[in-house]
Amino acid sequence: MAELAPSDGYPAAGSGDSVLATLEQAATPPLVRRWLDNLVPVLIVLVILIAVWYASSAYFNLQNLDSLVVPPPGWQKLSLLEKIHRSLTTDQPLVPTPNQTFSDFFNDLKQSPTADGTLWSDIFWTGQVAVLGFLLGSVIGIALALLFLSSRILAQALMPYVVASQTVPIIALVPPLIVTIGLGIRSEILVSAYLAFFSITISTYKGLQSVEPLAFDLMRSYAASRRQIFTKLRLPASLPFMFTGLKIGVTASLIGAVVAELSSGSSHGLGQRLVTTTTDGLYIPLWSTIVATACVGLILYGALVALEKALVRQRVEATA
Amino acid sequence: MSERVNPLPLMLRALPPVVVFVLILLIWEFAIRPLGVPEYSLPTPSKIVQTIPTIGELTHDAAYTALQEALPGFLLGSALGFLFAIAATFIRIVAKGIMPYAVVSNSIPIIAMAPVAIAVFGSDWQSKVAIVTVITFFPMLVNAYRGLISVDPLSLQLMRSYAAGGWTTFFKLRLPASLPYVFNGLKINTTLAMIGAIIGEYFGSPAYGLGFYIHYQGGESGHTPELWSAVTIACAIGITAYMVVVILERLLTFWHISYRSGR
Repeated sequence: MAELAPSDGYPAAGSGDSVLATLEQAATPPLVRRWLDNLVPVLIVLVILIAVWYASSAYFNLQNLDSLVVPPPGWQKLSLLEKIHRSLTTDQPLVPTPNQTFSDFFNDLKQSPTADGTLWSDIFWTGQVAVLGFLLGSVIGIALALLFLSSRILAQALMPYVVASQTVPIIALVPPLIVTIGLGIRSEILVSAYLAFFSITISTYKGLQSVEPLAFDLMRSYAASRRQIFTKLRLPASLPFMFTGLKIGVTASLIGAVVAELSSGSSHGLGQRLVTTTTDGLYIPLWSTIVATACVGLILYGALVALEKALVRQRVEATA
Repeated sequence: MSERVNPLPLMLRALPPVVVFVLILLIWEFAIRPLGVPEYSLPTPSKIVQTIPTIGELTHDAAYTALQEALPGFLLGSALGFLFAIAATFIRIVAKGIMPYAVVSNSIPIIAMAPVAIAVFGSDWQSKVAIVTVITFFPMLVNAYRGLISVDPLSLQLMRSYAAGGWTTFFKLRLPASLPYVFNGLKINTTLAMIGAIIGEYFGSPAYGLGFYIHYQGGESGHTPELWSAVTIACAIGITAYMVVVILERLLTFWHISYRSGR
């Protein structure tokens, strides 16, 4: 046993108790090392992704410059290395490099958050639509799952339509929606909620049904009421499934918010910024808008992960 | 022993959706005009049914979008997602490395990637396959990974006590346990694939395809019957694909709790 105990910085192994304590200490690495353990793989993948990004910038911009009817002056005489250099530094790139994208992104963020037409104002607009759409979509999604659970006939009657309603391409539905509810934020929130509820309904419904039959027998033998069976057994059992659906749903609600802006004639939002930069062929601002959209998604998703951690840990403590 | 499905209960099970369907159709057909919904915003079902056969190019457009864009992207994205989930299950550094990116990349709306994909891969089907692959990859990765690690530690210990190797444990324990989650991912992906292919065509197409048709008709005033005909076909394709996945799920996960009796 003695050679298992680390020699430095830990108490020497004496009695059986302290050997166990030492082993436990050795098994849990210090906080810094655990951080590094989690961070290093992420950084490795990040380096790979950035390398792929630079490579595709060079490749596609080179192809683009090569195929121009009027190439830049002296283009044919350049060596391949110089051509690659030009491809990575051109100010009209087809695929902007990471440094072009992020310097544009951070320049935009330096503008005043309250001013109109800035990246900030678009982030706030779309973020607000996505959050409200997600909340509405979650309420509808979970309510539908509960409704399906309470009535098998309703589930069989309506489940095909939950699916069918989602196979309708969302943009085709935006014009009729706008005709009925009018332009503006309300129709955008509805489209966002519409895109979000589907995965929440399916996952929650599946989760509510995923209780072991034995656990039901146990609850029944305790003479648990229907309400107790629901709150103490079915609901906690459904949470992991439900959160899978909620996490897909929160991303879907952001996609819905962005897509709605494309057709609603809105003058705000990240979706609108995507349209204007694309039609103008300004690929650097297009990519910095994509980065901003990803950041909004990351923040929303992070909030859900935190909620899941809080709720699921509570459940484990309750059963322990 | 597997349970034989009695034909009568199956017919009874099919009854509620049919009743709802008929009700919706009746309300749609006879109540929307008296309620003041104008023809240009919503045509009646009979008008849509009459319009569908008159559009000659619809069959080709639908086949192109579904079979050449959505299906390859769906298969590619789901397969890649599943393979990465397996890698993440066995190699911890892969899980730690890629799962955070599942979040970031999944948060990028396909709409944002569509102009990029079309700029890079051209306006034909290749760019749409790329978009669909990207959007179907992450739901499968998240679901399959969750399924593969959902295995009870006791079951893993039992397999070890049987001296089962890594592959045996994978095929006999982890893979079956992951199937309900995997099918959850596949169901989400069928609809995502159709939406991705159709929206992708809005940004660039070789002047045919279901999405192009919807986009084009949507911009023409007074063409709502044509628009709704195309939307109906898109809907029918989505439901058919979903049903195929449901049938496969029933065949492969008949043992799962949610299909056992006594719920």
